[in-house]
Amino acid sequence: MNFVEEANQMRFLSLQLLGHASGGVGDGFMSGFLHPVFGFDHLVAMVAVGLWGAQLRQPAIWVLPVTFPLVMAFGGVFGANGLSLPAVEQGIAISAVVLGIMVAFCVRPPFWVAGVMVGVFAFFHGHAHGSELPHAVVPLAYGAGFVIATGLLHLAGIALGALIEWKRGDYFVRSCGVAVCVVGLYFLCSSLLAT
Amino acid sequence: MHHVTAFEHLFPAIGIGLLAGQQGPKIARWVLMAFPVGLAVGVFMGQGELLSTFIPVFNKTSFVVLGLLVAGAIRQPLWALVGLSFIFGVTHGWENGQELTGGFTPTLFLMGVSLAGLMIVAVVAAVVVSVEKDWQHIAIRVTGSWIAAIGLLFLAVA
Repeated sequence: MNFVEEANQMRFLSLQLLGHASGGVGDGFMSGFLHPVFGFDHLVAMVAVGLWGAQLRQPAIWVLPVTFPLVMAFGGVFGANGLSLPAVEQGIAISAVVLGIMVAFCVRPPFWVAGVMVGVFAFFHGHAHGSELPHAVVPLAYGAGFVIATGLLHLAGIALGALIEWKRGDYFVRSCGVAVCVVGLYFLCSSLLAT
Repeated sequence: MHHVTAFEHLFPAIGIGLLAGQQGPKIARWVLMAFPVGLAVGVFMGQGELLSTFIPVFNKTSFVVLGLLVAGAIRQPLWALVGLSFIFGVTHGWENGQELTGGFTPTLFLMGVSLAGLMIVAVVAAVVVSVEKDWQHIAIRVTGSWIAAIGLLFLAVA
């Protein structure tokens, strides 16, 4: 057996092993996982939450990643049950704009203000993800996918935010905030022009 | 393999492992016995039709309960954690038992589910017990919040 044949056999075996999960759970999980990753408005906002948490330091740096998924899930429950939320797309875009500004200018409001802001944004994001839940092949796997992806994006933001310890790193993080804001403005304009 | 590949059973088992590990090795050891024994009892009972509508909803709720306890890093007395682990073991084992079809040997299926539960809880608890740094403790709490969030969504589409 040559290398190509062996590689093909390994691939076939791995697909067989996943056979219990794939075509259903695996597809559902990947679909949910990729929803916030390929949705650029979601992606930049989630990374910005992590960046801002890093700038706010304790306790926000750990409270935000712990509470965000829970509030997002409440939004998801609303979306999954068909309960409408006005201007969801605009709300998501605005979350990216506002979080981008917070990061760019290193705004440090009182902890409860930051918590309320992020909570409102989490609800909008969760509603958008949750609206897709009833259409998913395996809803549980889809939900697990987007919750985990969101959490990993936060962690990526927090990891990037560690750069604020250095002056150039601080400039880089604030530049990321500007980029997040620009992306948010793009999506906001697009959604307003589409309506 | 069912307990490992079925998210509706895997995540609560991970939650029990995280919770047990957070309490420390002395309490975690008791959970290592309580949960698999609960699973075995549940698989045995699940071959009947007892409480057929209540159990699935209760199992979905287990995500939220376990996830919130882990996220809050709430200290549990031994009796509470062992009781919780046993009860969730019974209910999850019950749902596993419902899926026992003619193609499986019941005894081997029961042993497999219990062993899978034991392995998941043991590995996860061992990892949690061994963590020392603050950021690692935070990561465990974040994982708990993920489990609770997934549970809320699971209940929404139930």
